[in-house]
This record gives sequence, structure tokens and C-alpha cells, in this order.
Amino acid sequence: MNENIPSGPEAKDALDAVRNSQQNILVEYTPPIWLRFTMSASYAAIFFGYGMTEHENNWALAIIVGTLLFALSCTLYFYLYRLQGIKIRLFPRSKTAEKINLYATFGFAGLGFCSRFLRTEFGIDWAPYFCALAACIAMFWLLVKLPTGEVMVEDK
Amino acid sequence: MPELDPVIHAPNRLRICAMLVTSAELDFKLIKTQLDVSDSVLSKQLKALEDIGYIETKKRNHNGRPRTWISLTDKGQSAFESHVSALQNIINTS
Repeated sequence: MNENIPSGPEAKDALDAVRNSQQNILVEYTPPIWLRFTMSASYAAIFFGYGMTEHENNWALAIIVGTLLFALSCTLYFYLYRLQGIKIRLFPRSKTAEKINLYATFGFAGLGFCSRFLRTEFGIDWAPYFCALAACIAMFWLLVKLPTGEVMVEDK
Repeated sequence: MPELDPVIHAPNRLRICAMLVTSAELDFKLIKTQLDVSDSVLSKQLKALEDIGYIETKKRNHNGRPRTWISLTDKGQSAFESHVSALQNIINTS
């Protein structure tokens, strides 16, 4: 291979080809935006319902409806990808994607905890609204930036 | 120091690996469309990657039609990452 080492511009072209191929896969075949919004909104409904629930009031229904809608939209998301010929990995393989998923898990757990704790213990009534909105935005961002759960090769 | 992988370095094989990294499995037809090559050309490229253990192919039926799914193995994933790092090193040192 030593005699065939590419020059700088050739290496750059090769990396550009890698990025373009990944970009095409991630952009062209992404499920519709309304589905990603439904996933984010139903996910937020779970956080909001959890933060507002007291004993057995109506907000518990928001958790149930949110969970059902989230499960249904996730299933549709996976199915649409599969129909187009892409099977999504449930647990990412690249280290960067693993890190992002780990941060997201802790972040969502923190939002879920704060959503309820801040309202019940400190009387901050807007906490569930804020946490649900934050969860919705974070989930939507993840679905836009990492639609298949994996990251692209980046410029260094 | 990561080294260039001669098997992955071929343009079509590099693009195949790049696409496979983004998901668990990809359909043969999808890769063919993306590369804009014939069945035989793609099969030949896939065979080269499969022989060295970088990818796996599985045939499954979907609605009565056979579909070929291709996935990157752990060996293929690390070879691809190493190859990309080597390319980035070349760019940084040039």
C-alpha cells in the first residue's frame, strides 16, 4: 500500500465521498417530519403527565396516551425505514454515538425527575411545562441529527 | 498510527462501508441505487468485502420477495474507522 498512499487532495476527496454517501442515506430516506414531531410531542407528554400527576388525577391519562402514541410512532418510524431498505441499530456501535446516547439517557432521566420533584417539593408549577418542552426539543434534535442513531464521519 | 486498508480504499467499497456504518443493515437494492452500479458490479464489490470478513450478507423474504440485507461486522467497522483516521492524518499532514 505504501506506493499507493494518496495525496492530501485525494484523501480529502475520499473523505468527502464518505460524507456524501452517509449524508444521502441520512437525508434521502428519513421518515417525514410530522412523524418525528409526533414522536417528540408524545415523549414530552409522558414527562408532562408525570410532572402533573397527583394520585389518580387526569394527568395520569397523559402518561398512558403519550406512552402509547410514542410506542406507535416509534414502530412506524422503524417500519418506514425498513420498507426503504434500512434497518436501524437499536444500540449504536460508534463511540461518539454511544456517548451521545449516554448523555441523552441521563439528560432525560434528569428532566423526568425534575419535572415532578420541583413541582411537588418546591412548588415550582411551571417545572413540568419547562421539562416537557426541553424533552420535546431534545428528542426532536436527536431525531434530526441522528435519525438512524449513528453519527457521520466529521471534519477534523 | 492508523493505516490505509487496501480493500476498503477502492472508491465503491469505501462508499459501501460508509453507508453501512450508519445503520444495522442495508438492502442490496438501496446500495445499488446509491452507487448507481449494476447488480454484478455491486456483487463483486460485496464479495471482496465479505471474503475478508468486513461484511455479512443475509437473505430474507419480505412480502414473499427475497431481499438481501448487508451489515458491517465488528472487524469491518474497526477497519473502516482506522481507514478514515488514516485519511484524516494524510489531510492533516499535507
